[in-house]
Amino acid sequence: MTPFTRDGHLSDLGLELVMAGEVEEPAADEHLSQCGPCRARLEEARQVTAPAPPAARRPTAANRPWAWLGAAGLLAAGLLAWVLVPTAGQAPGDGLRIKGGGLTLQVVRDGPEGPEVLRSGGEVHPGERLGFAVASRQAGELMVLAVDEQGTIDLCYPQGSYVSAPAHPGELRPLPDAVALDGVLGEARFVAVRCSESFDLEEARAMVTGTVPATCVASSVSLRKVAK
Amino acid sequence: MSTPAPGTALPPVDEIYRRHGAMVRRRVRRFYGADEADDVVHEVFEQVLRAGSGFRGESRVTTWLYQLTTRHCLIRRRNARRRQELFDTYGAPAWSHPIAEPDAEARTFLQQLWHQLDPELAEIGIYYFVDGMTQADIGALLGVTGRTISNRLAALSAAARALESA
Repeated sequence: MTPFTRDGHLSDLGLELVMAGEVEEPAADEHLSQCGPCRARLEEARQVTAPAPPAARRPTAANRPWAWLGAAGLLAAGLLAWVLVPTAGQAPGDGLRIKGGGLTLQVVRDGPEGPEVLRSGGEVHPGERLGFAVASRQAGELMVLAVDEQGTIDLCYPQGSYVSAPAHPGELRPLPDAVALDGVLGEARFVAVRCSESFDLEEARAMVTGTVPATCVASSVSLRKVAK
Repeated sequence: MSTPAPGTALPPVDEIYRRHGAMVRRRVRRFYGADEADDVVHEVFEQVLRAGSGFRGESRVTTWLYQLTTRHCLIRRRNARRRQELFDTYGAPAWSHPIAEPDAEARTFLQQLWHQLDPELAEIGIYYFVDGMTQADIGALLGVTGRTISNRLAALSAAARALESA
């Protein structure tokens, strides 16, 4: 790969490769020594630094009905370690509605006495933290949404991207996102959707409120959110 | 630390962030303003957390991350457009000011066509019209032949011309 554009200047990627020391062609240095605009672009690029790392940032909960915890917070809380631990006497997948396509959603609460796999119909409370795990028989694209009593649909996984994330076939896997429940009481339904092709949030919302296409399957867990 | 050569495994995410966070931010700024760019940068690294297993060591981390960032920004913009309430908050894309002087096809692509294309074609269009990359380099970045890129660009140009004459 050359670092140059079609008109002979350094491309954006070329500049990045130069700064990373990954350009072996002396032509790049020669060009920089002769081209003022490219030197200026290089200097300008060098002034840009990385933003603060994710661990130092707070969840973006202010403008959403659900308060989200990002992957970094989840890792820090050790949630990934407990998501896959079923409650004693409860088999993985218990309480889940599994459709023919082979998709299982598990919702786990970070309780005071340790992780607890929640059955459909179970009670949850505002402020509690929930994690998710999914078992998929087939590869595809995955999204998990939350539907509250008022019909508001929000994205639980993958947070922040608005498009589905890859679903890997196999046994139950924890998802790297969690949610903290807000104060809207009533039914809290969590729906996992897996499709053969990538899909976006709007398409997923349509599936949750309407019909799931033939190329997709869904699995849900319905909980009751009550005041403490 | 040096960037792994092709054929090696992806380094830990925190290491990638330290080394390449600035590069991702620069790339994101091609698509987003300063007020939103940092959030998008972190979304990209969430993608790295999830998509890291997709790194097969066939390219360097720099080029892999450059492509991942470009794709994430394009998909995010496409979906933002579909979500009217988010679209209303956006101004003109930062990347509407390309490196190279745009010709008619580039202007059409930038202003009208990009959101109507499938994501792969839009990504190719960004590399070609906005970044000014050669077809061979786009092919190398995407892991396809330059001939494939040429065919895809021909389809893109036809679409642009049809839009211009409509």
